[in-house]
Amino acid sequence: MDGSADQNQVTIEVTVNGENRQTSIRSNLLLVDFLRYELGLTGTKEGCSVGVCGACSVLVDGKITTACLTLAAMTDGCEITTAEGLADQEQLLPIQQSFIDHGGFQCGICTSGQVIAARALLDQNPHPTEDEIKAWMMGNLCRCTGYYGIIRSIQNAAGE
Amino acid sequence: MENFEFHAPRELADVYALLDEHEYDARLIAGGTSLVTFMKQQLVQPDHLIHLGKVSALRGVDIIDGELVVKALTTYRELETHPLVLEQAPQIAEVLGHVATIRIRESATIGGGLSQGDSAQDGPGLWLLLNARVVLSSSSGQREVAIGDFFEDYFTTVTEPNELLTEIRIPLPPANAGFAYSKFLPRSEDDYAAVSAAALVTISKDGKIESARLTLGSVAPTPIRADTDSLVGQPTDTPLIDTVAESLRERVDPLDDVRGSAAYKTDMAVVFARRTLQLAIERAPR
Repeated sequence: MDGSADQNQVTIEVTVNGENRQTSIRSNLLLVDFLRYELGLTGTKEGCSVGVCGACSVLVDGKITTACLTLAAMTDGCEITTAEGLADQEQLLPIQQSFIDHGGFQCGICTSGQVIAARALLDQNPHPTEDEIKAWMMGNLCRCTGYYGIIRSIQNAAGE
Repeated sequence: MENFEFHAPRELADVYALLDEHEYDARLIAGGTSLVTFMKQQLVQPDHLIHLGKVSALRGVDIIDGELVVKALTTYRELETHPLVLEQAPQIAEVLGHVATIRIRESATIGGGLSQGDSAQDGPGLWLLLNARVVLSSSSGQREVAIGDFFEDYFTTVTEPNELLTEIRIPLPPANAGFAYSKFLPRSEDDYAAVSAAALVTISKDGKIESARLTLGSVAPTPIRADTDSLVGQPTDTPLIDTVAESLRERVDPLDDVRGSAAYKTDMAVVFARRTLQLAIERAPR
């Protein structure tokens, strides 16, 4: 590594859960660490750190994104939504309520990623088939539910 | 991960200028899904990282003179769901639907995957099957490279340090072709394959094999193409299919890893080559 500390900083402007943020960060700061450690948004979890488990799923300009494989600097100018940004004040989204009502989680570590992924799916495809749900959610691992609770939660939220 | 200077140019000319200035000290990043894992493991430690996300000239999918032209920043998901692909090259959508997970396909790019030069990915064997060409661009112009000449070794392509892969040109497959893609996945659905095989076959009116192509991924430093010339003019149940598949035993050079020993992968390469070829023949319209 060469270059001064200043050269390895970058200024980004992002909108996180509706709030505009302009900040100077280390160039190598991962999006997941930016959210958790710089902004205190610990709803986004880090699991495998290699893009497999989906615990760090967030929405970047509406697209489901792997926050552990994305540099925060790459999101300059983007709109980011994390689990904290889904509910409107105290009013849960139908997909969040459905995870509660239909056994979509047990321990909860994967849940924010699951709900973000489910939201991204329903935004693109409001009435997914079971196969479409399985294909889409394949990238979000869960060790508790056996997945059927998650599928039921999405099916029940679809169309609401 | 080591730190680096981050650049986010908007124009191609600015990308070329940065590459000219920093050459081997710079790496290009698009979706980041492969490169960031390499940087986390310190396998790659660039002093300068050039982010391509803001270069709008690198986006777009079109059909020009019977070829699908895909700009480098097109994501796997964009291409997999693109109407032109679904109508005119559904084989591409079928294969890309097997890449990792949808979340990764929403970020990973066609150009990034090619530049990574990893024959274990789904793309390289497919692009080789379809006789694609890549365009490498720099401040001194651009050159077109046949995909068979593009991959050199594990994670190594002929791209020079001052060059950027700007697009891939894919001749549209014949409308009457039978296609098959098979992956042997000993672990999970989203894992890299132990062996992958793709085949494209057309059958003439008299029921003979008119053309046949077969490529393999994951079993050598680069994707490989089988010599299928002997099949042309043969009946669809010709025993030469076995001969073609067996001949690959000498061509493959797999690694021992968690997905199987080299000996096992060699056996599986022959099996998957035969089955995939047979399936493409079966699917080809008569």
